[in-house]
Amino acid sequence: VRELLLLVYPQAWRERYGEEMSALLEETPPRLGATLDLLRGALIAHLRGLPAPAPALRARATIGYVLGSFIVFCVFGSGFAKTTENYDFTERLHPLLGVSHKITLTAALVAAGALALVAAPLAVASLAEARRTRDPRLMKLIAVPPVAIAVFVGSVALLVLWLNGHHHRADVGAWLLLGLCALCGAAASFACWAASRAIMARIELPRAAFNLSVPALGLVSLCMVAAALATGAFLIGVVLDAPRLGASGNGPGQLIDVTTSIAIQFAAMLALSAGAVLSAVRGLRSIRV
Amino acid sequence: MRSNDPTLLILSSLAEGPKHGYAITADVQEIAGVKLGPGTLYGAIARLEERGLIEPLESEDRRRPYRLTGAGAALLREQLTAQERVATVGLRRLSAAEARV
Repeated sequence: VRELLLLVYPQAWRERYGEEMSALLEETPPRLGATLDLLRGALIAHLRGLPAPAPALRARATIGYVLGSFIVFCVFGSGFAKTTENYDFTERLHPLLGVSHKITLTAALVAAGALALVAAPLAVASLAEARRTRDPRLMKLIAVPPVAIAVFVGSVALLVLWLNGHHHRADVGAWLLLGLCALCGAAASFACWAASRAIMARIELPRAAFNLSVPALGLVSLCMVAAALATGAFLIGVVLDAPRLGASGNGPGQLIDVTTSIAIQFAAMLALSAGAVLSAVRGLRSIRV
Repeated sequence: MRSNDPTLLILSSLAEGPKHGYAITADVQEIAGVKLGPGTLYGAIARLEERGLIEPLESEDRRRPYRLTGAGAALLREQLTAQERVATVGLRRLSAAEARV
């Protein structure tokens, strides 16, 4: 009956605290006072609503969200880079093509630098905490990103060695190794993202770490917007002055044309960058509290 | 904050280290003789989280532990010091009054 009383709480409250309240009720003997206390708590929860997350939680959520968005963004960005890798001549077709391509590249480089700024204080704080507490689980979590990146770099090195040994022929071995690289890249990205979230949930990060990381995330999200808009400008350039180029086949099996490929990349990059900016703004507000 | 304020009791309990809901209830009953109901407990936890005084850790099964933040520890120290000052002065005056009778 008392567990059913949890249904009286607002849905957002149940989503946040329902599981743990239910576990608590299972561990405590039923009492009339506790039942009345639950009803009183539900009434207050309806009147007050679910509290906003604490500044540190908001900042951590921002870091997790923007990093996750950036990883997916990089997938589409890599698609754009692959689609346009042999288009050095396109500046002559339309000025937008050359300029937008340079902006995309610059934004990607600045975002990579800003990511280092995001990671550095978090890494320093995590290492200091691991040294202080000698927590074995924390040490394992800290080891995950470098190991994951090393595995990915190793797979790329293997591919390069194979290509050099086979005169850069696109044979079955090369395609298999390329698939392995993609798999390692996706797994490494996920491992870095999940490990950083788990580390942040495990230790109390100093305010100074957030004060540097969250503004750097703002810069990452602005770079994402710049790269997305530049991709949009490239798309306009292709549609206006390079229709033959736009109509040529693209992607595995040449299933779709270049224009459609870039349009999909642009839409995804724009949506991801908009979400990242909104999250970064919320994160910046939280560290100003 | 009053000395029997649920938020102060929870902060005092978490000063020992991270605890989940049931452990906080049991500890508060032991140290203060106050039985926190589930609605009161989670209402107070939500307020403390909102103010950044405590924060949740990873869930252990369905039970989520909470820990004191730096801001929570500072506020708890400030509140307990103020209460200690009042208690010390009050007890001293009471003893003086009893000695005069």
